Amino acid sequence: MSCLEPQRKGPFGPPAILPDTVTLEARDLPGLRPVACVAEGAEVAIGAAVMQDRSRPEIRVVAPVAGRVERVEAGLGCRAIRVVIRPDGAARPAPVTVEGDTRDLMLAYGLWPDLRTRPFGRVPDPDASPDAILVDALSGAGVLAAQATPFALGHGLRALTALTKGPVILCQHGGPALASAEGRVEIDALAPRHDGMARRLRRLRSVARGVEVWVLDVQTAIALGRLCAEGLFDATRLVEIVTPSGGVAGILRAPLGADLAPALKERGWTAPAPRPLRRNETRIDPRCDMAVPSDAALGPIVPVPALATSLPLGMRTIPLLRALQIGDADTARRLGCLDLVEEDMRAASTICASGADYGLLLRRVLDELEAER
Amino acid sequence: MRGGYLATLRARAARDATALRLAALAPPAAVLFLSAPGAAWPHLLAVVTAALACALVFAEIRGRGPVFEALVPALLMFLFAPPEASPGQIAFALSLALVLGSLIFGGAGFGFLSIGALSLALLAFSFPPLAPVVPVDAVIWAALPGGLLVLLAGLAPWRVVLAGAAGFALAAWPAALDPGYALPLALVLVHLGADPFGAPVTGPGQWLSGLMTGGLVAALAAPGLPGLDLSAGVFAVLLANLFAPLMDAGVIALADWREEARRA
Repeated sequence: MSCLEPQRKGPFGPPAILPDTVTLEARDLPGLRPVACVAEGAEVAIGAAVMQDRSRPEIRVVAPVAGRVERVEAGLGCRAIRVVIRPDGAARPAPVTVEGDTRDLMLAYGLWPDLRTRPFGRVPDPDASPDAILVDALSGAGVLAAQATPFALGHGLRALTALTKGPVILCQHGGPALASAEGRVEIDALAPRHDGMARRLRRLRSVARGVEVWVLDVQTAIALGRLCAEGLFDATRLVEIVTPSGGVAGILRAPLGADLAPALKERGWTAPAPRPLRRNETRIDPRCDMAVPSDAALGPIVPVPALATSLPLGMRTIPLLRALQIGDADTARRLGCLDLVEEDMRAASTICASGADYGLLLRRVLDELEAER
Repeated sequence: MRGGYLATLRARAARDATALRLAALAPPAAVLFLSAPGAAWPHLLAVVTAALACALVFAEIRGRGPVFEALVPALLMFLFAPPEASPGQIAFALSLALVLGSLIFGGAGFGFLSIGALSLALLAFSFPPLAPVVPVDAVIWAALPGGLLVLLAGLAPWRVVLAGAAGFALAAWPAALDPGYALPLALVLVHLGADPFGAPVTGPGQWLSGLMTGGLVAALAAPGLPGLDLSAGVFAVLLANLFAPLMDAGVIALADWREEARRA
């Protein structure tokens, strides 16, 4: 597991699938106002910019595959909604042509939009510096990728220390460390049981009282490590496929924005409704895709222990859920909602009998609190 | 697999709350009915009709249900109502409790009182000689598996039950402590005191609420009355329910203050 292992030039894990189209969605860029920087019919190379933020053009979304731009959808004020690319061939690592520090490389190769701030879950400002960076290695796909490329991961983690004066903490489950702790790189493997990033954040560096932390997936850190150490840009990610009963069907490698449904059907796995692979998505769970938000009036919250433990330890879950239901932003902030983002509320939405989509309710409250800042 | 079943039960408890609570109350209600069908059927008919009628009227007005939650306080009223009460008196008290304690707030789960306790209290208030009574031993024994079910599912906070027993023992010690109180007290604590919507939701709040309920059951009991005084139990539960939001707010404020002090 040492970072002194020889460099790997070839891909690891399963070969990348070849999707019919790759769809890059603006909804994966919270806090940005993207505009398209390619026209329909244009040829794009891997790593070419296809969208950029209107006010901070250095934040870019790049093409994960080479191909032709099939469709550019824009909304009010030329705001990009999605860009669809028809690939010429399979996604493969491309040589790096840009030089610079970590920040420059992440911005140039479209890794910057993978970062999320806590609180508020936004793409961070390119000039900002967080109090710490948490690297999420809790997903099955992330662990597999980290185990396959410890060299790139070590480089990526060290490169991330250039973005912050605080620690870079790799959050993993128990077992052998996925990378070595050195300098400001720390490993958090204290909690062997299954937990999520919200619990780690709450325990390691709560942002409920003023600090800012950035969170990114371990595969983005690996991609950054490959950029820095191997000079290769790899836009593919491993994705864990879950069966309807909750077991793991297998692992796929796919470029961002690929529709996985045809590949899943080919393998005889349960396929979700056709949709592009979202940014930072490392798990396709048909059970989550089946949940359809209802317009019906919300029912009561039944305060059972399973619901009370669905949020990180130390949180007053039931009072917080009640505050979210009535949109009481001040109480929700006092109860620690700033430590949370939408995906942390999935378990509460599943267990609660009220029928509320707590992710949506949390977003409304976070938007209100962000506007008050 | 036991752990698996229990985990599934606890994960589904919120969605199946009404079904589980009705399943817990059905055996004692059935035993009570079968012990004296002739006397029991008018009471059972009265509580079920009153509960469903109130719930249906409000569901019709609001354009949304569900209505079966109202059967939980209906069965509690059936279990604890005195045999000498007329079906009309029982139906009146239950309807009043459902409307005032639950339906005007939006239905079961939106109020803050145990509707079962409220209906028994309203029966005692409205028709003074009609105090709630502890059912016969066979009914209490039949209620035990259901009590265990709601405790395991998490629909009755165990802290309230445990603290309630401790509070009663402390307040009654040593003169009025009788092993015969154990099962009726457990029945009151599980089905009335540990009401999921009436009890506090924070752990320390549940301990406090349980201690208060148990202590008040002993303190409010009429002297010289044989067995557990259920009127005291009902009023103790209602008083603890009234204080539950305050207890939760106090616990959260204290936790915030400690957190601030730790960070300062």
